[in-house]
Amino acid sequence: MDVNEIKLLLGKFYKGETTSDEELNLRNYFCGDDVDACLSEEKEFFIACQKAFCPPDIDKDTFISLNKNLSKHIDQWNMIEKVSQRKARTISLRWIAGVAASLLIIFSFSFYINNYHQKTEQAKQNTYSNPQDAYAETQRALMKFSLSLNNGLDKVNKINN
Amino acid sequence: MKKILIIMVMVLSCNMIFAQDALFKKYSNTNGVSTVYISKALLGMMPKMNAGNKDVSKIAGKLDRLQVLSCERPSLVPSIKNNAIAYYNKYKYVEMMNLNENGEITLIYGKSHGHGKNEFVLLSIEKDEINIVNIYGNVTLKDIKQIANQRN
Repeated sequence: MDVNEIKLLLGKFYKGETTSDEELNLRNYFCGDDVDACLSEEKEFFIACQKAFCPPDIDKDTFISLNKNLSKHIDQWNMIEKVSQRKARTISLRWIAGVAASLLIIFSFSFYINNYHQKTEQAKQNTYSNPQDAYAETQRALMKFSLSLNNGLDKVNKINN
Repeated sequence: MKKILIIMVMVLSCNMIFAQDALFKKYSNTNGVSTVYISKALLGMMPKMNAGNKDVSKIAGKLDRLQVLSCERPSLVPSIKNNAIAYYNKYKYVEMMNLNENGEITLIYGKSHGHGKNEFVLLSIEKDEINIVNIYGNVTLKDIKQIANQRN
C-alpha cells in the first residue's frame, strides 16, 4: 500500500468511517516493518490506539527472557502462597489440637473427681444396716430440722404481725 | 496464664469436695459424740417401706446423704460449736436463720451446689448439748418446712 492510500484510510479511520477490512489493512501496515518515515508519528498514535492488536516491538530473545522471568515470578508466588497456606493450616491445626487437649484434660479431671466423689460417698459406711433404724433416725432428724425452721419462721411472723 | 487459672480452679474445687465432710470426720471417733451417716442407697429404700409418714419418705428419697452429729458432753460443746461455725463460714455457707431462744441457739446454714443440689445444716446449740443435722440432695427449705406443717 502506498503512502497516500494509507493517509486516505487514516483520514477515514479518524472520522470513524473505515470498514473492518480497511482497519485490518491499516493495522497490518503499521504493525509491519516497512512504515514510511513520514508516517512514523501516525504509527505511534495508531499503535497506541490499537495496543490490543499490535504487539510491542520486542525481539524474540527479550520476549523469551521476559516470559521466563514471568514464569519464575509466578512460580515464586505460587510457592509463597502454598507455604503460607500450609503455615495457616498448621497453626489452625495446632490451635484445634490445643483446645481438644484442654477439653480432654478438663473432662478427664471432672470425671475423675466425680467418680472419686461417688466412690467416697459409697465407701462411707452407713451407721445403720437396718433400713427401719435408718428411717427412724432420718425421720427424727428431718422433723427436728423442720420444727426448728418453722419455729424460727413463726417468730419472724409474730414480729411482722 | 489461662492454663494456670484453670489448674488453680481445678485444685480449689478438688479441695472443696474433699473438705466437705471434715467436720463430721473430725468428731467421728470422739468420746461423747455420736455421728450418723445415712447414704443415698439406704435413703432410697425408704419410699418402698410402709412408712407412717409419707412426706418424710418422699423427701428422704430426694436426699443424697444425711448426717447427724450429737454431743451431750458439756465440755465439748463450745469446741464443736466454734469449729462448726468457723467451718461453715470458711466454706461460704449462707446463714439463713439465727435464733436465740432461752439460751438455745438455732442456726440454719444453706449452700447451693448446682444442678438442683442443696445442702442445709441445722445447728442446735444448748448449754450442755449440741446437735448438727446436715442434709444434702435435691431438696429445698420449703420441702423441709412442709414436713412438720403437714404432720400437724
